[in-house]
Amino acid sequence: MKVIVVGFGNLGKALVRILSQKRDFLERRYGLSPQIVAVVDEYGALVKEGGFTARELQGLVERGRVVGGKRMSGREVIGEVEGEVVFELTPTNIETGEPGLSHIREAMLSGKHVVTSNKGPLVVAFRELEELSKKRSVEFRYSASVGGAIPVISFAKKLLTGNRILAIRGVLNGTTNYILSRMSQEEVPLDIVVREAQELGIAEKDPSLDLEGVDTACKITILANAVLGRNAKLREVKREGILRVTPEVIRLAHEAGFAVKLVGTASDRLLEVGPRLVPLHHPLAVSGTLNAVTFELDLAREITLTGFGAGPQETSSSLLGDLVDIHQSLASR
Amino acid sequence: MEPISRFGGNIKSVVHRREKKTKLGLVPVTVVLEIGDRGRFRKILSELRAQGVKITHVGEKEELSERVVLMAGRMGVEDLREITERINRKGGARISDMRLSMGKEEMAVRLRLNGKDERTLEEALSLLEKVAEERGLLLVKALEERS
Repeated sequence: MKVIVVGFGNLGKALVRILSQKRDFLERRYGLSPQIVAVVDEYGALVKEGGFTARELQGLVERGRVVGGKRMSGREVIGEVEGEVVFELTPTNIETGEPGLSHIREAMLSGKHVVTSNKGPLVVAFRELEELSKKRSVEFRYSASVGGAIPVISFAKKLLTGNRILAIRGVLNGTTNYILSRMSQEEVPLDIVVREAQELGIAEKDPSLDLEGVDTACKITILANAVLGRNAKLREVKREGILRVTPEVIRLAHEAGFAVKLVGTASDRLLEVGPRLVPLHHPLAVSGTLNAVTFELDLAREITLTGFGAGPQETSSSLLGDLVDIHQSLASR
Repeated sequence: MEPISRFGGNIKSVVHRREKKTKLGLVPVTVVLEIGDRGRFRKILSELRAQGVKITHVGEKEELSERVVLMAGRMGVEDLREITERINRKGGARISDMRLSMGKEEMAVRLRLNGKDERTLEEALSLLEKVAEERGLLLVKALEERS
């Protein structure tokens, strides 16, 4: 299976490394032999139609960026290079969805299957992309866009099929969860913990999308569309971030048996993100950078998944899962 | 009794009222228990019903419905008095407990609301949401638990 990787940041590098490391495992277990035929970043594109060797890929990961490649854009590579699956891993833009949106459209129009972690195109044009994938008979997977390593979307789509999903609630942003957890432990103000999180690489240099709840709202929009079958827009999510949460709030909550968590909720009637009082015994009361998602179901009542919501290696686990899933779907066509 | 302990309830007393045995031979039992939140109490009731226990009477209605909510921001004692009055004026729900914590510039307050039923509590919460929006306060509600 020929693979094109568009976007070579931390996640792209982790994916290339893992595809190389797991070559034997994927072949033995699934009869799947992914061959990376192109890697694109903002500096250019490396293309090798027969597929790069493990050694070449290792060198590429060590260099950290595409060096000495062709001057081709992501769209050009996707349109012109022969391949079966495109990994779209460029940075998220929630306003326009670009450049990811154009990459995904180009891939589908040229008959290629798509795996993405990019929330931008999913928030901006989810229905359009789902319909285009059906029209062009290509597979479209985006497990890595929500929950990092936790298979939230595929779990809901594949394993909850006998249940009606009444609501999805989740702690979906590791950065804010780390900040709230540290504020609870140390009883210190938010700005001090944010600085600590930035030093540890847990928070971005500009963490506003996390702190204002926008990242969680994007994930709630994706879950509402992908799992609940809604046609939700990001602007419809009622949103409050954690910027106004003080140590006093956390202390008062704790004294009454609650943790304060940034919880996103999606149901047929509700789309919202905000700080919530979560009972300390509740499965959503996870600490540190962990994520947790609870499905409320008509038959099974409640099922909660917990795991690492971010990190290149962890998120690669979802990307790889999607690739195997596409391979199996194609085999059963 | 297992569902009560499983969901964190503390059993205060159990009285078997054998003298009031029903025609079908069932023995009415009165159980007094303590539990921290409404969600877990509902889970106990639902679990007992699932196990075939017929629940004929559940405590005092007013004690059944409870919500904890936090507010934070620039506010003073006068604001708290007004919030309390507005809740009381609306009727059906009351603030049974209030705890304050002062920050450098802002105050946080934890309110425990009791209501005669879920609907009146929801109405009281809507009122608090309105007040919070009017005054630019943060309102932190408890996670909605499955009923």
